[in-house]
Amino acid sequence: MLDLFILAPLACLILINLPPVGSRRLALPLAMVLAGVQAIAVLCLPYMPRLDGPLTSFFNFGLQITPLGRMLLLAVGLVAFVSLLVGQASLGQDRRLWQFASMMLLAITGMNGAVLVSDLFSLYVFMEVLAVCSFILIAFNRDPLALEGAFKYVILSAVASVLMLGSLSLMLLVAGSTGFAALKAALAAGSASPLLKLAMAGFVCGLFIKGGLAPFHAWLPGAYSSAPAAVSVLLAGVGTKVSGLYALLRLAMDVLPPSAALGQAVMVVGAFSMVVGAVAALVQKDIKRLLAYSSISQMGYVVLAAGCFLADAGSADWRLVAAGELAMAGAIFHLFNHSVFKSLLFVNSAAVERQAGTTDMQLLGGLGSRMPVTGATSVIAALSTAGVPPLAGFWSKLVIILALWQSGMQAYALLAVAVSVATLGYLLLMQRRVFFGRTAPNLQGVREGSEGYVVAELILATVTVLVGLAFPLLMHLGSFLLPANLNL
Amino acid sequence: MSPNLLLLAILVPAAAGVLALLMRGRAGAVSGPWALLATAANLGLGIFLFDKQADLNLPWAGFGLQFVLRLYQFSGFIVLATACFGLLVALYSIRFMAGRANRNQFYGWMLLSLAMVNGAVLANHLVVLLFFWEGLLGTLFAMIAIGRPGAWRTATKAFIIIGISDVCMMLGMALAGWQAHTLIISDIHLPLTTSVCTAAFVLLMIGAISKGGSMPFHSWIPDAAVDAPLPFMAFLPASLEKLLGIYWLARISLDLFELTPDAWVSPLMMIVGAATILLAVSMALVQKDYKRLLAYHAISQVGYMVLGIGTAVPLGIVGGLFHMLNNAIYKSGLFLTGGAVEHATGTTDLKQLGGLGRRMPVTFACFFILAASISGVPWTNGFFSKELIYDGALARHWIFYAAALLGSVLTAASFLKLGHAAYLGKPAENSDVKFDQVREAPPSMLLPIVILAAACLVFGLGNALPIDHLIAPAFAGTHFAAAEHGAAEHFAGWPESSMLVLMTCLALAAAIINHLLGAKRAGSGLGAVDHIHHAPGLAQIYDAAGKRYFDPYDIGMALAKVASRILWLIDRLIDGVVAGLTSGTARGAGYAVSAAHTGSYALYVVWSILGAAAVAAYMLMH
Amino acid sequence: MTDALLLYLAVLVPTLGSALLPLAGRIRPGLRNLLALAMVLTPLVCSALLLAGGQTVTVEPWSIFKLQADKLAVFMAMISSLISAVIVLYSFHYISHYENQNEYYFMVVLFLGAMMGLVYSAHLLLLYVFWEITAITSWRLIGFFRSPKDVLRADKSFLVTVAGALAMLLGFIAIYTQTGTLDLTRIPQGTVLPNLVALLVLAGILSKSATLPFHTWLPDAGVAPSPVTALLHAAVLVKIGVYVFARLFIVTFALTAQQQDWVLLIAAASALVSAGAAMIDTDLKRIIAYSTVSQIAFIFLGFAACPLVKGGAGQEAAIMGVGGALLYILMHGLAKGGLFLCAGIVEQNTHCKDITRLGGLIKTMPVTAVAFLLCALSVMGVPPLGGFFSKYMVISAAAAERPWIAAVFVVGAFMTILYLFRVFTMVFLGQPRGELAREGSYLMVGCVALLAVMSLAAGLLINPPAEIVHATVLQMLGIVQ
Repeated sequence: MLDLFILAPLACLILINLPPVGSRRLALPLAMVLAGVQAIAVLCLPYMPRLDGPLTSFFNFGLQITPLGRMLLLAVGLVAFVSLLVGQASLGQDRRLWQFASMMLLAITGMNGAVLVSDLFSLYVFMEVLAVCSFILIAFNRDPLALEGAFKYVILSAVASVLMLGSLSLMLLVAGSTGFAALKAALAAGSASPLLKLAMAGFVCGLFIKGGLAPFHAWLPGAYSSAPAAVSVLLAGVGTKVSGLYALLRLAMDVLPPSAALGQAVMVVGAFSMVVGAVAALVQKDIKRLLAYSSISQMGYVVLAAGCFLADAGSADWRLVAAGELAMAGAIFHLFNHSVFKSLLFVNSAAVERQAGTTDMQLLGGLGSRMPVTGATSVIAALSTAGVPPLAGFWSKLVIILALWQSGMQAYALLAVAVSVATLGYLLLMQRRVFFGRTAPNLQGVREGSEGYVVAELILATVTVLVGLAFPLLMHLGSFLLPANLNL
Repeated sequence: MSPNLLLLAILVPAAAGVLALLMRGRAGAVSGPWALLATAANLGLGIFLFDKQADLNLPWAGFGLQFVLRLYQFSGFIVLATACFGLLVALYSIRFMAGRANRNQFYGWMLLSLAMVNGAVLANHLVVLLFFWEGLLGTLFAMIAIGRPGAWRTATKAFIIIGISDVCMMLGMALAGWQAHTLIISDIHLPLTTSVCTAAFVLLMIGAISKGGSMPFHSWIPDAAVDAPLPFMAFLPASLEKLLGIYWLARISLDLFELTPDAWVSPLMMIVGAATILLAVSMALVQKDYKRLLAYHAISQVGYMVLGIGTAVPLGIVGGLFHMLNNAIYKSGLFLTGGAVEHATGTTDLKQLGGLGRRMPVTFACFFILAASISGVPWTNGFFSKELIYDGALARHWIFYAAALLGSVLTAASFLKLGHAAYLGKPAENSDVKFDQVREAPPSMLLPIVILAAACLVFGLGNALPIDHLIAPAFAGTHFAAAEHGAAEHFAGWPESSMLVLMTCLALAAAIINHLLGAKRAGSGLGAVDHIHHAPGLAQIYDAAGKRYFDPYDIGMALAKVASRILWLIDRLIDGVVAGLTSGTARGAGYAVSAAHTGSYALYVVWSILGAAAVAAYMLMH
Repeated sequence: MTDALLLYLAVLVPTLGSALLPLAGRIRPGLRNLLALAMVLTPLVCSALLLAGGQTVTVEPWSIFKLQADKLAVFMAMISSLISAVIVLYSFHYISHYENQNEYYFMVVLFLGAMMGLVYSAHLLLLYVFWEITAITSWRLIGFFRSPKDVLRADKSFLVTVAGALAMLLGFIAIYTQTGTLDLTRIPQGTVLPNLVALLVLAGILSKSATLPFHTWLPDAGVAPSPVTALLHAAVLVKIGVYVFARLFIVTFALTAQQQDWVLLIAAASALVSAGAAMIDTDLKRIIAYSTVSQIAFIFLGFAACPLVKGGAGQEAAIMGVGGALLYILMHGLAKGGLFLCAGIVEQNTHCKDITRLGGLIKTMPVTAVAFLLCALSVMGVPPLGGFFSKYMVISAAAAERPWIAAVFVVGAFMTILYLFRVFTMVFLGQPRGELAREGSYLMVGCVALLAVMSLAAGLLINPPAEIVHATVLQMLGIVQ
C-alpha cells in the first residue's frame, strides 16, 4: 500500500506528460485529486490491510510508516491540495498550470518518498528530488528576484549536499550501511568512532540548512518571498519540513543514540533559530518576508523539542524519559500545525498580493473589511502561530513547553514563552498594518480574492480551529496525533 | 416600649426627607410646612424616647455587622436636643427659604441629615455609626451646593475634608474593633496603653473633632457661611454637627477608651483645643462679615469642648459637654439673628449695616443675650460651662487656662464689635441698604431666636437642670463614675472658685475697655479692633491668612498635587519600561539581525560552514 | 431542568451562540441586538437558578472540559452577566452610530461567554483557554474604532495580557509537575506553591487585572467605545484576574505569609500610583480607568490581607477580608460600569473627553450627572451606597493583621475621594465651556440610571447580597461545604 504514495504521483506525472496534449488541461485537477486522496488515505491508513507493493518487495526499499510519517503525509496531501488551488487561481494559463502541476507531482513524489523510506541514502535521494523541484518552482516566474531567490537556495543546498553526501560516505565506510537500524546499532555500540560522530554531525548540519534553521537559514527568506504564491505555500507548508525537519526528527527517534551533548547542541540551534527568526520578523516590511522569518522561528520550536527528546532519552529517570517523549510528540504536532497555519498565512498573503497588488505592509491597511474571509482567517492563523488558545498552535506549544519544564529546562521554557510573545507581537504588527485598522484610501476598491483563495483559506482555517477545539479530545483518546498519551 | 420604635427615629425623618426631595416645582411650596410637620413629629419622638432605655438588634450586612441601636440617657439626650434644633430651624426656614427654587431640596436634605444624626447617635455598633456618620457627607455636600451659584466649590471642600477624616475614622474603628474583639460600642472598653489602641483613639478622635469643626478640619465652615443657605449654618455646623462630634468625642473618651490624664493623647487634645480657640477667635476678631465672623466663632467654641474633654478630669469633661449644649443653643441662635438681618437688609456685610437695633428691637435683644452667653457673662449658660472648663484646665496646667481665658477676652471683643457695628451707631453711609424700609423679622423667624435666647438664660440661671439631668447621666457606667464617687453632685450651681469668677470678670472688663478705646480711636464700632488687626507683626499674618496661605485644605491639596505628580511620573516610568523598553529592545535587536542579512552569498555560506563546524566540534568534544 | 443542563446553557449559549450574531445581523440588526441580549441574559438566569439550587454542580463530559458551579463561580457569573446585560442594552443605541456592529456584538457576547466558561471551569487548562479567548475578544473590541492609535492600543493590551498569561501558563505547568493534575477538584486544598510558581501565576493575574507593573494597558485601552471600556474595565475583564486569584489562592492553594506580603505590597503600590495618575490625567476615560486600577488593589487587599486560618479571631478576619473583596467586586462592578457608561454619554454628546475642556454639564445632563455622582460616591465608599460596606470590610480585615498596609490603603481611599471629585466637578459643575450638549438617549440614560440605582440599592438593602457573599466565603474557606 505504501508504495502507492510514491508510485501514484509518479504515474500521474507520466500520464499528464504523455500525448495526447489535450490531457494537459486535466493536469491540475488530476494533481488536486491525487493530493486530496492522499490526505484522506492517510487518515484511513491504520484501517487498511498492509500489502507489500513492488517497491517494497522488488527494490527492497524498506518503506515504513511511523506516526511522524503519517502526520507528514497528511500535511503533504493537505498543503499540496491547497497549493494547487492557489496555483490555479493565480497562474492563469493552461500551459503554465500544466507545468506547475507536473512539478508539483514530482515534488509530492519526492516528499512522500522521503517520508516513507527507512535508509539514509534513499532519504537523501528523495530530498534532492524535492530540492530540484523547489529550485524550478521558485524560479517559475523567471523574474530577477525569483531567480535570485532560487539561486541562493541552490547554493546553500549545494553546501548541504556536500555535507550530507560526505557524511553518508563516512557512514558507509564505518557502519557499512545507511539503513536506519544498522546505523543505530553502529552508533549505539558503546564507543562509536569519532568519524561516525563527525558524520552524524555533518548530516545533521545538512538538515539544518535544508530546514532553514539559524544560522543556516539565509536562503530561506529570499526563496519564500520571491517564489510564486502557490510555491511559497508549498515550500513553507511542507517543503522544508520534509527535507529538513522530518529527517531530523526521524533520525532523532530511529537512529541517533540518546546523548545529552547532542541534545544540547540541537537545542541551542533550535533556541537560536527561535529567537533570531522572531526578532528579525519584528522589523520586516514585506508580509512574505515576515512570514519566512516566522517560519524560521517556529521551526526553532520543533528543533528545540527534538533536542529535548535527545537529551532526555538516555536518562535513567523514567520521568525524564517520559518528558522527552512528550517533547517529541509536541515537536511532531507542532510540525503539523505549522504546516497548516503557515500555509494559511501564505495563502492570505497570496490573496492580498493578488487583490491589492503588493505585499509591502507600508502600502496596505484595513483590508479586513474589504476582504473579510482573508482577514478573518489570517487572524485565526496568526493567533494559532502565536500559540493562543483555543487554536491548534496553542496545544503544540503547550506540549513542548510542558515537556521542557518537566525536563528541568525552565530557562528554555521561559525563552519559548518569551518568543511566543514576540511572535504575537510581529503577527499583530502584520494584522495592524494589513487587515485591522482603517482601510487606506487607495485600497477602497479592493475585493475579496477568487474562490480558489477563499476555499483554500477556509479549509486550512477549519483544520486549525477544529484541531484546536478537539485537541483535548484527541489527547484524551491518546491517538493519531500524539504517540505519547498525555494525561493532564 | 418596643425597641423597634428606635427605627422610627431614623425612618420618619428619612422618609419625610425623600418625599420632600420629590416635591419639585410648584409642590415645593408645601415642602416647608411638610418639613415643619416632620420635625415636630421627630421632636415628639425625641421627647417620647427621652429617659428611656432600649436595645435593638437586627440582622444587617452579615460578617458580624449587625444593626444594633441603643437608647440610653446620653443618646436620648442628644436625640432630643437635635430634634429641638431641627424643629426650630425648620420653623425659621419657612419664611427665610420661601420662594427659593430649590427649597424642597433644602428641607429634604435637612430631614435626611436629621435621620442620619439620629441613626449615628443611637448606633451601638461601630459600623452602624460609621454608616450614618459618613452618610452625612452626602447631605452636607448637597445642602451647601444648593446655596448661591459657585457654592459647589465650598461643598466639595467640605466633602473632601470631612470625607478624609471619616476614612481615618473607618480605620480607627477597624483597629478598635479587632482590639476589643467586638464591634458593639457598649462592649468596647480599651485601655490607652498600647500603641494600636492609641492609634485607634487618635483616628477616632480625628473623626470626632473634624465633625465638630475643630482645627485643622475647619476651613470649610467660614466659606460655607457665605455660600450655603443661612439656616444650614444654624442647623449643621452650629448645632447638629457639634452635638454629634462632641457626643462621639465624649463616648470615645469615656466609654470606648479609658482616657486618663496619663495618656499622651490628653495633652494632645488640649493643645488642639487651645490652638483652635485662639487661632479661630483671632480670625473671628477681624472679620467684616456677620456670617463669617460667626463661623469663626463656631470653630473657636469647639476648642473649648475639645479642651474640656481633653483634660480628662470630670470637671473639664462635664464642662465640655455642657458647653456643647450651650454652644449649640447660642450659636444657632446667633446665626439665626444673622439670617434675620440678612432677610431684612439683604446683606450681612458689616460695612453696609449699622443702627439696626432701633428697627429690629427683638432681634437685637436676643442678639444681646446670645452674645453675652457666648462671651461668658455671668448668669448666662456660657458662663457656667466655661467656668467648669477653666477649672478643669487649671487642674492640668495653667497655660491651658490662660489660653482659654484669652480666647474669652477676644470672643467678647469681637461680639462687642459685631453688636456695635450692626445694631448700634448710625446706619452706614454709602450703603445699598434702604434703612427706612428695614422691618423686624416676621414672627416665624423671631420665635426660634427668642426661644434660643430664653434657653440661654434658663440654662444659665437654672444650670442644675441640664447638668444634673442631661449631662451627668452620660457618666453613668464609665470609669470616671467608678473613680470619683458622687462627683456629679458638685458640678451644678455657682462656681466654687471665686478666683476664677474674678478673672472672668476682669477679662470681660478688659474686652469692654479695649472696645471702647478702639471704637473711639477708629470712630466706629466696626473699627474697634483695627488696632489689633493692623498691629505690627499681626498685620502681615492676618494678611497672609486673608489670602488663605494657612488654609490646611489648600496646603493639603497642594501637597496632594505634588505627590500625585510624583506618582504619575512613576506610572509613566513603569509604562516606559514595560511597554517602551521591551518593545524598543526587541525592535533594536530586529534591526541588528536584519542588517546582518546583507544579501551576500559568501557571507551566508560562511555562516553555514561556521555553524556546521561549531556543531561538529561540539559533538566531537563530548 | 437539571442543574447540569443549566450549567451547560450558561457556558455554551453565549460562547457558541455568539457566532450566530453576525448572521443574524445580516438578516436584521434588531434581531441581532435582541438575540445578543438574550444570550447575555441566559447565563444570568441560569446562574440565578443555580444559586437558588444551592448545590455545587460538577459536569465532566470529556477530558479537560470540566465545569463546576460552586458558590464563588455562581456569584461571579451573576455579577458579570448582570452588568454585561446592562451594557449590551446600552450598546443598542450607542453602537448604532458605528460600523462593524456585527463584529461588535459577536465579540461582546463571545467575551461574556468566555467569562462564563472561565468562572465555571474546574480545570486549569480549560480556564486558560477561556482566559485567552477573553484576550482575543478584548483585542478586537479595544481596536473597534480602527484608527492607528486604537489598533496600537489594542495590540498593547493584547501583548501585555498574553505575556502575563503565558507566564501564568508556565505556573500551571509547574503546578502540574508538582501535583500531577490540573483538575482543580483533585488538588488538595491548601497546597502551598513555591515562590517562583506563585510569582508566575501572579504575573498572569496582575497583567489581566491591570495591576502594577502591568497596568498601563488599561488606561490606554480607554480609546475603545464606552460600553467596551465598561465591559473590560468594570464588569468583566479586570475581574478575571481577581476571580482567578480567589479561585487559586484562596479556594485551592494557600499563599504563604511572605507571598501575601508581596501581593499586598504590589497592591498598595498599585493603589497609590494609579490614584496619583488619576489626579493628573485629563482624559475622562483614562481617569476612570486609573481609578479601576486603584480599586482593584483594594480587592487584592481583601483577598490577601489575612492568613486563611481556621478557627478563632483569625478566621473571623479572613472571612471579613474575603467577603469584603467579593462584595467589592460587586459594588465596584456596578459603580464603575455606571461611571464608564456616563463617560460614554458625555463623550458621545460633547465629542470631547478632555475634562479641562468640559464643564457645567449638570445643567443639560442632570440625570447623567446625578448617576455619575452616585456611582462615584459608591466607589469612594460613602454610605448609604454599596461601596461603603466593601471598603470598610477590606480595610477592616487588613487592620486586623497588617495595620500599616491598612493605613496605606486609607491614603488610597483619600485619593479616591480627591480624584473622583476632581472629575465630577470639572465635568459637571462650574461654568459651561463650549457648546452645551444634550442629554443622552432615553435608553442610554436609563442604563446609567439603572446602574446608579443598583449601587444605591445595594447599600440600602445590603442584607441579600451580604448573605450570598457570606455563604460563598464560608464555602470558599472550606468552613462549610
